[in-house]
Amino acid sequence: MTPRSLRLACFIAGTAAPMVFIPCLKAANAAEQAGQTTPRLMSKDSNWSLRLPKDDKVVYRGVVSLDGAGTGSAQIMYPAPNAVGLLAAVLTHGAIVGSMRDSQKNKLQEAADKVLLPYRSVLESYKHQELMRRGLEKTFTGGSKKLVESSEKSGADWFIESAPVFSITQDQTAIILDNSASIYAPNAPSAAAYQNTVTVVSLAKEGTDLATFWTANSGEKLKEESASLLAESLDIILSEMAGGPSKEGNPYKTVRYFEGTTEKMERGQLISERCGRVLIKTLRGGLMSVPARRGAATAPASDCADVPGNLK
Amino acid sequence: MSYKTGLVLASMAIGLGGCVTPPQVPVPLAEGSLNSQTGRLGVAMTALPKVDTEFPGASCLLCLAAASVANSSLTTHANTLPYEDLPKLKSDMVDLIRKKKVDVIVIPEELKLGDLADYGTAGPNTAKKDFSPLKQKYKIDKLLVINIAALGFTRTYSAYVPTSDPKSLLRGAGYIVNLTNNTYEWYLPVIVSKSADKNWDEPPKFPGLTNAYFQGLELGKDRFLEPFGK
Repeated sequence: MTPRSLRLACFIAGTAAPMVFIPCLKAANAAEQAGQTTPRLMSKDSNWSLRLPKDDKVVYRGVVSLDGAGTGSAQIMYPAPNAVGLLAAVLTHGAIVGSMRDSQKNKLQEAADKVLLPYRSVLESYKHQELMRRGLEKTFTGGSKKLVESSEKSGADWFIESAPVFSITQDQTAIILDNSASIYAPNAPSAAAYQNTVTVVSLAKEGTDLATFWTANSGEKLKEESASLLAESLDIILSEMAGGPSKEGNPYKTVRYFEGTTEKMERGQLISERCGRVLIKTLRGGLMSVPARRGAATAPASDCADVPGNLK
Repeated sequence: MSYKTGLVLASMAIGLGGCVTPPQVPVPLAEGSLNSQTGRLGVAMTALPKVDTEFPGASCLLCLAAASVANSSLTTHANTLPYEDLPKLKSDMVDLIRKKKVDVIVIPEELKLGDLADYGTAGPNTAKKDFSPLKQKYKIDKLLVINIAALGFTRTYSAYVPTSDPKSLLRGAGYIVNLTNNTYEWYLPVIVSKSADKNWDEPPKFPGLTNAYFQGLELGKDRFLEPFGK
């Protein structure tokens, strides 16, 4: 479909449903600017495929804080017989400090990753094949969907590439997914029609021995929660592709939420707030689904069944 | 170094060291100290500082110039950031304290600490400025001051070399001065510094650091309000 015909289709669709018009027209304009002929929006019943990543292993990390990173501001007397000597001394100092800072960040991440020790056997056996099969079964969006090998090329269906990275909070109460996804339109494998990162923060679990909770029965709870987060992220990004609610004009605000038992804040534009979940567009343009703060209005469970962000 | 030179340097070090005033130690708010018997409490804020950058450790003039140039786009961006609802902090504080049945009022104008005279008597937990004239001016018995001294981003340096990534910064202090004896009944230094969650170097909008800035605002407000929510 050409941008011109897409714009005409938008106009016709917009006459019937005005909310469709603006995002649709923007898509047409964007397609024209980019010289693309592929549709920007997918319909809600489109068929889609999820391609397995090349690397089999699912990535898990410990949540790390870099608030305390830095090597202080100790003063140094440069040996400077002349300007060249001073420059050489400053460059050497810079290289040493840079290396120390990198090393410190790596050490902080290594220390944070120690939270994964009780999960090692479960995580080693949890592969993308299983994660994505489980995740796919939990998604709501689209018509038929299938998991395809990493070597598979895009065809007549919409095609999604996904690179999930999971983090476990230090108190082990919650899991966070950062999923970088690219969506390819049917028969257009060369350029992604849409790319974004979706972050999903799970609800906090309560309990005294959470390592046992997550790893019991070969890590069934951990695997299910991870797959639910993946499904949620796919539903969110597919909903975005299907022309989800407009958020361009929404005001920026600082949204508070709980990441496990720790209160966190994220600056962004509120996209939706429903069924115990808040979806925001972050300052980087990514999408983020977080648990609503306690006391936020909740809808009946029956109204939440199809809400991307309502963990299954 | 000769004996005489050493003696002169040692004397200078002692003399200069003597000029450094020790920082005020925190004074916790005594439990149950705020109630209907507290007397009249005024809540004031000093003028909010410009949202800016600072580079501690870049101590020589040339080092500071180099750091300023290297971080100029961040400084330009910092200058565009809003205070959000930080100016509302004193009225939020009043609302919270009023729940304790304290007779509390907002001092609408900005408090100018520089206009206050130095207090003559030094002592433990004694304010360095003389707040007592404000007792008559506002008809209050005690004054709660929110003083935010620095807002924006900080990046530590060792001379010319950055030793940390930039982080958001909110630095200040909250205190209650008893206007009868000019002593602190509560003193809380507040420093909140947050790093960007991933990469920080994303000019011109610096989304990671901007997010950290707004996180810092929220956390800073929480730190000031927290003792009064108990």
